[in-house]
Amino acid sequence: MRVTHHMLYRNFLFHLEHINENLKKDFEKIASGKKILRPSDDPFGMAKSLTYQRKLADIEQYKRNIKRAISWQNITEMALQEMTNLLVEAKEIAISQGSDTATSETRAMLAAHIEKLKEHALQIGNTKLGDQYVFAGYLTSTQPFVDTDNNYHGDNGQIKVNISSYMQLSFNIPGSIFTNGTNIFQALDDLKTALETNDADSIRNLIGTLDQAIKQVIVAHASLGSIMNRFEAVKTDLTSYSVELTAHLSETEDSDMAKVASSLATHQIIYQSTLAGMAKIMQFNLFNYLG
Amino acid sequence: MHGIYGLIDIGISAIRAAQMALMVTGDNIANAENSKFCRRRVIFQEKPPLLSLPILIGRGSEVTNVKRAYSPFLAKQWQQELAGLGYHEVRKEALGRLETIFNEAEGEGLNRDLTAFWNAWEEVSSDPASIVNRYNLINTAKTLAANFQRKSNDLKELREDMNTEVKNVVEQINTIANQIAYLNKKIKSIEIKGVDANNFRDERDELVRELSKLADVTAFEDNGKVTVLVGGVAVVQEESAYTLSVETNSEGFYQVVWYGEGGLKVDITSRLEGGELGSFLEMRDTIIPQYQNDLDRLAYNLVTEINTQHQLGYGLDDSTGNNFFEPLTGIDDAASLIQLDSTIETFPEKIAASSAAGQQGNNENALAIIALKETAITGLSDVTFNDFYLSLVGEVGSASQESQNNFEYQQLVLKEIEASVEAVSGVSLDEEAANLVRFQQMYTASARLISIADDMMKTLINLGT
Repeated sequence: MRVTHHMLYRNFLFHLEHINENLKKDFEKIASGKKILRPSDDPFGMAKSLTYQRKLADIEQYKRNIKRAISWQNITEMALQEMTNLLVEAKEIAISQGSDTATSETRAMLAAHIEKLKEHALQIGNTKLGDQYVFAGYLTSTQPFVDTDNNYHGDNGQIKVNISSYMQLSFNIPGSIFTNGTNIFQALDDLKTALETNDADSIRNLIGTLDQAIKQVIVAHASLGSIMNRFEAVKTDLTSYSVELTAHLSETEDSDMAKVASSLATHQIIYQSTLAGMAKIMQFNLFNYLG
Repeated sequence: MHGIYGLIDIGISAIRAAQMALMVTGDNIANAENSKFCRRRVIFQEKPPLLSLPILIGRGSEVTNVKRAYSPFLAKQWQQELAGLGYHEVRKEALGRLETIFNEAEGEGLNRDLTAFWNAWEEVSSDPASIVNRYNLINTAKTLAANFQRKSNDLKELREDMNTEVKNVVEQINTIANQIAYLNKKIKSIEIKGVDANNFRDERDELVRELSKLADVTAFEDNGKVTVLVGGVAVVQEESAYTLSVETNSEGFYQVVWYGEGGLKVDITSRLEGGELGSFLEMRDTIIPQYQNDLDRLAYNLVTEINTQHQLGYGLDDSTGNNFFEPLTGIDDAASLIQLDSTIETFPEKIAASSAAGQQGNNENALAIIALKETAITGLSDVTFNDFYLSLVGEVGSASQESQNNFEYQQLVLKEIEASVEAVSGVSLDEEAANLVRFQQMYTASARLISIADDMMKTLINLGT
């Protein structure tokens, strides 16, 4: 093959351009810290990294959902605890006033105390988070308990949130647990009436009713506790999943600095030797040797 | 004439020939870096002897022609590969721009906005009574719609640009066709005298190559004139150019039309496949519309699916049957028409998170809308919204990557062809240096011949003295 100077020169330029492009790519990877800067750099990796990014954003959202559910549940739990304490106190009053040592005076005095407890029980039933009633089911803007009747005015709506892409959990407890089975408010009213009328038999009978009521609240409390545990467990899972995803994401899209740096060094050496080689070759032709 | 005068004649012819050869060598050296220049070769011819004499001895030499070192076979290949280069170069650049529109690597883009949109619904579901959460959803949905619109707009612009390029390329083709037709005439008029019109041929070859890069061209030489076909019709024939023109079609895009003799008109748009022109047309008519359609489908189905579910739910004000997005009539242009419903925008309480009236804490409809996120959508070939978009980005990426690889490959192919052409037609300075020495020697020797004839003549004249 005839090799002309022009050919050498063009060849040189072609390769130089190629090397420059590689240098540019290496530099981009170093400067940005990413190995995928546009979809064509690695279409498959790009799709993967976008999926990871989306999942990470989802996890952050699920964690926020869980946070809100847990704060709702914390309020609920405090209310249930208070309700239990209140009922235990009522029961103790019933026990002491059901005995024959109690007198009509003590009973009348404690009837007033029971009335206070009833008011408190209503307050507990109407506990709010922000401006929403936590014991009203879906009817979060409706006051679930009023002092004119002892009925539940909420519904049995179970408010659910997404806590992962395939799991929903409800976090609220409808106020019907205070009225279904044993009606706590009715029981307190009955106790008050029995104390006022000095009816020892009725008072003694109410001890059992109050026991039932306490059991009812404790059962609800326990089931709430187990749901809260599930929320916490999922939150922990999400956190570790998120760490894992972040690692995958980084592996997919972040530059391997050691690799890129050595590639850059290699390309620099190639660049320099190409320049040096060309400078040598271009100096020579036959004219140098003709008189 | 035999004899001393004949000797002088031979010397003079050889001096002339050597001079001409030196000029050609000089011309070669001068054009060593001229890319369209083909190396010239001197054709020496022996001057014929006088047949009237008994012994036939030539009468010296003369330069009868200067030929180009040229391979028609390689020239044809070169043209073909240039068409490939033009095609892949445009494709690479256009897909590169397309890819920028869908570039999600910087973290911005539809993927992020879609995620934010679903998560804003999550916020609403976790506290449906909160107006703040509802405003957040409205803003996120507006951002999402704006991003759809921007992408749709970018795609339209890109398509417009491709269209403008079609017109530009057609104009370039016309200019070149005219020049080739002119050169056909010029070359014919010179070569009728029996010498090669080398520089005009160089010029014309270069023009044909330029043309090949612009469009898939068939060029053949007949009797010194080049006929050039583009898309099956002759843009240059004999000494005439038949120019192409553009006509706007119903969609507002240019069709490429050829006018021949006698008002003959042919629409060649669909026949243009190679070169820059073919590539611009392919981008404009096939590739970009395909991505536009994908984006429109995504927008349309998102609007329709969300609206359908949203209509089933109830707002905080117990209103129902409301749309979330402005309803769309069809897929066509959906991505640029997607917009938040104006009522929702003003009255966030109308966002239908609840599945029943009067239940402030009910979030079932919000959850049902969020469930659409993981639902395979019939209108999107049974994949989820996110996956559909991801595969769209993936496709753009692969197409762009493939076009870069093809372009690089084509460059390599072209480099090889050009090297082969250069091997035949290129000027080697070493070779020319050697030629210089050769022809200089020829000159010196020829001059010597004359001086010997002179000596001989002197000898003859001085015989008597």
